[in-house]
Amino acid sequence: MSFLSGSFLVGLLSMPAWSQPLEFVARNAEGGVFFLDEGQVRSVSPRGESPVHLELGKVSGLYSHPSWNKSFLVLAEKGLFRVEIENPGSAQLVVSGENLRVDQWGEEFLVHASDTSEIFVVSTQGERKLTLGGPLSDAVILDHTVLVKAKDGFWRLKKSGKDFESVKLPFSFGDAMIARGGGRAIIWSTKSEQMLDVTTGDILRARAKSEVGVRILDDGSVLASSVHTMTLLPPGGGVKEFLPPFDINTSTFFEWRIFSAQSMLDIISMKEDRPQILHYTSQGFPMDTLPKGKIREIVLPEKNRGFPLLFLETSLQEDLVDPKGRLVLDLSTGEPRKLTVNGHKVFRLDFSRRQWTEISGDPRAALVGPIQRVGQHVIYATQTEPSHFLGSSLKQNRKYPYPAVILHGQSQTRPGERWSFERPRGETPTKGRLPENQWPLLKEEGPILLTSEADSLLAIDPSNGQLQWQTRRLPLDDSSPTILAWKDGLALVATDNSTKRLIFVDPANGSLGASSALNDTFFWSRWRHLLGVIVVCAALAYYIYAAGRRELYIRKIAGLQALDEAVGRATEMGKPVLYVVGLADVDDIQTLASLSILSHVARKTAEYDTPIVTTTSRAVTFSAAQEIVRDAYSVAGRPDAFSVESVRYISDDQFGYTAGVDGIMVREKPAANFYIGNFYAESLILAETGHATGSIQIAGTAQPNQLPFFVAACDYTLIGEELFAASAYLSRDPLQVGSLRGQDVGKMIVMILLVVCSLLVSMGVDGAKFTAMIGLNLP
Amino acid sequence: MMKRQIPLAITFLTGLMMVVQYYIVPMNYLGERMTNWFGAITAFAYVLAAASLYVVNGKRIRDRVEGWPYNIVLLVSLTATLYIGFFNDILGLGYPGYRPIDEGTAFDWMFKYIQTPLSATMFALLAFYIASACYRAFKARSIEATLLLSSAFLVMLFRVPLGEYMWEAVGLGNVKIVWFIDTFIMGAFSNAGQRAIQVAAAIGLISVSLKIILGIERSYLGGE
Repeated sequence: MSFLSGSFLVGLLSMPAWSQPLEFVARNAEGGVFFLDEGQVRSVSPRGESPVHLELGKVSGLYSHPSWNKSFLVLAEKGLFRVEIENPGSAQLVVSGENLRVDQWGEEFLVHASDTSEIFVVSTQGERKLTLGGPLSDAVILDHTVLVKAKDGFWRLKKSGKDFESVKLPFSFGDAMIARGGGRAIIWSTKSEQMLDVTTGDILRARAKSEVGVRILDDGSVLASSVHTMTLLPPGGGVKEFLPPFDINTSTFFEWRIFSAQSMLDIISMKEDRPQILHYTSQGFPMDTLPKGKIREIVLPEKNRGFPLLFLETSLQEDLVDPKGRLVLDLSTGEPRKLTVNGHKVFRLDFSRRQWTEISGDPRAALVGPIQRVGQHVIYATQTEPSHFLGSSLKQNRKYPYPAVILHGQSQTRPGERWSFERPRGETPTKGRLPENQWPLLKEEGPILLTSEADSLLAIDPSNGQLQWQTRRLPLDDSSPTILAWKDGLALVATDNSTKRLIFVDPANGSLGASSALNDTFFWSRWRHLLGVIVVCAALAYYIYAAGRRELYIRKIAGLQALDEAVGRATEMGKPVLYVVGLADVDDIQTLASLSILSHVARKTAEYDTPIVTTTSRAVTFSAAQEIVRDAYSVAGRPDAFSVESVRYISDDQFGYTAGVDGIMVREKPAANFYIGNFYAESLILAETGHATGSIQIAGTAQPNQLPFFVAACDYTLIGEELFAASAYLSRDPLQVGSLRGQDVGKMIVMILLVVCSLLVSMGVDGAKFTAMIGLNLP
Repeated sequence: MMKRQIPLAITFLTGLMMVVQYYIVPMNYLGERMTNWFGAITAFAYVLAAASLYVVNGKRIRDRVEGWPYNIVLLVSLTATLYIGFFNDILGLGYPGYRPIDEGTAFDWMFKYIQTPLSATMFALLAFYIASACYRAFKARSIEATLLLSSAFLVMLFRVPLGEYMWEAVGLGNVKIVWFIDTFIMGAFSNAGQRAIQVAAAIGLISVSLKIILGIERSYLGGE
């Protein structure tokens, strides 16, 4: 029984805020998971079945909440659909429209299309449509309130409210701006000292008009500034006033890093590559200057229980030396070349001394990956810069060629408490697979989930850096596995050798459970190619099979008829024949076709005792051509007549090759020139030089852009398919001749299809409509 | 017997696998892997190609055939390039910490100041050859040739700003000649012709590929 056909005691989870890097999953009672994979909703049971196929087109998002236990939302091309977990095969359209935006608002979802005045609130109960005064241009979603900006004003929807209500402003709507952050939003104006708290509806007052700007700091404090005074309004109430820095203006005010902690206000600006910090305290505002570097992150403690940490990226300039210890000089200036070595320093804000104190750092260890607070610790990672020499082969660890990434956890309450996750190579995380924004956590308090150098998943306790568990080696290529986590389950999407698998993992001990392949065995997007190839190949195969029964007529191809004539002319004149194979290598089918014709031409030259010069521009083509010409001489019974000069490698360079071939034409004056294969810009240079030397010239290529040049400058030209027909035409082998007939049938099919499809498109029937009309349901 | 059967068997298996890997997901990685193998094989073939250059040109110098000093130039250039590439430091041309192909090295200098301008010179010849080929091709000997000449004249004239300028100067600026050329001559006639060649060539390509995979077409192996 399919896991989807049973009754579902559903356990459905959306991503909680702490696990953003983890992908959305929904889970049913039997352990099957629903998730988004390359634009498709997937469901996989622990037994590996993958039965759901929702016909919704490309899906861009899945949405749900822990309280949604019967359904989840799917955002697809045509709108937002609700999918019942008990009956996932059917999807109900909730909001139609393209380019919808979906925002989570607690247990509900706000859905709207841009430039419309309608917003839908979707909940487990159903959906309700709300209408604004004008098209929506901006929205701020807070815990209990949604604020939207429409054409004619601000509108507010409260959690308990039935509809949007217009927001009355203490200043003109045209001057109004929104500041958001710290879980609140403020509407303010540069022309007023009044501000509107969106959630409470309270009017806040600054000491002066907020002509410079208003910001909401991480702790929810509102900072309003004029040129002469800054007003800090903490969330708990009260007002504090500060003298702003002398260089304050609107752009600097919004560029500065500003935060408030334990009654101190810190403003951090950059002065000559150094962070400069103003501490506003009750005693005034002492200034602190940090070492040279760039602030990577400032992490504030949770609810002010601890100290803020500042991560500074530093760099060193070291002289570059080669393995022999010699200074490496810049070849243009003659000055020693410098190597930039990245490092870091970690500072904490010491409230008692009112200054930033360095607590750790390494001048040769660069910060990599995210820096994020998890519980009482701030998690960050470093990678030590290797001592290396430019231009030399490093003495590398062949198995793990890059320096190890070390994960650290710095306590935010105890400065001396810091752990580092240092393990033997293979068990350390790799830089290429580090997350960009947030450490993936299995649960809110950890463990952190990382992929090791040896392709296993590591679960690291963020409070002490201990390895909780490690999975067995996963089937992984260089990509990172996608981690799917839910309340009590964990699965990975891992890709290796073009096969993508979903692997269930026990979150308690890391043991691997069932795995199932996610991608189809067949590239369904290529079914049209395959159909075309099968039809053409069937026609070819039939006529090859039927070839022996009766003689088939082949129209005369002037270029091929003239091959023998050209060789004969060269024989009569006592001059050599020049055969130019083209620029492409043997992996190009035109080169292979050219080599087939070369075999025929070489045999003729051997029979007529006429020298042949074959020029090649690729090494592998040279080897193949040499064998072909040598064999042709043997077949003609004149192996002794073969000369090493018959096949010449000239150059891989396009115009070096052209110059070489031109030189041969001018010096050796061949009587017949063959240009057969894949040619580019050199085609006309070759053909015109040949024309100037008075040779009879036969060209052949399937490059449409070069054909006009050959037609203009050569006596005969094999156009496109004639090049590929040459071998059959020349050999008259019944099997090969049969293939020519198959080729013609293939062309006939294409011609009929072109006419039919042109008519269908003219009548407005496109490919999708046509396949639907004939009952085909293919991608 | 084996000399022919083994390559044919390899060709059949490899060709079949390359077709299958294009459609079958779990085998798809094999395509890229085999393309990498081709790169490795090419490296070996260059040894043979370089040896051929020495043999062919050495023989021509020894026999004092016409133009033999050019062969000396070629061999000296080839040897010097190889030597500077391989033994940069021994010649005293190398710099600490630099590979021969790095910017500013002697090897790079040769590429920039010898090879690049020589290539550009050869490429520049194309302009003159196009003129001479056009002269021959566009002779109005028949109705077809006259049509070709007229359409080529229109395309050439109005693909440069001068043509448009002259068109406007004679007061025909509101007649959309460039649009006519782009839409009809290039977009319809030229494009249709090119696509016809491409479609037919693609079918021919499938045919040759199938014949090679099945071992019907063997002349590229020689001796047929």
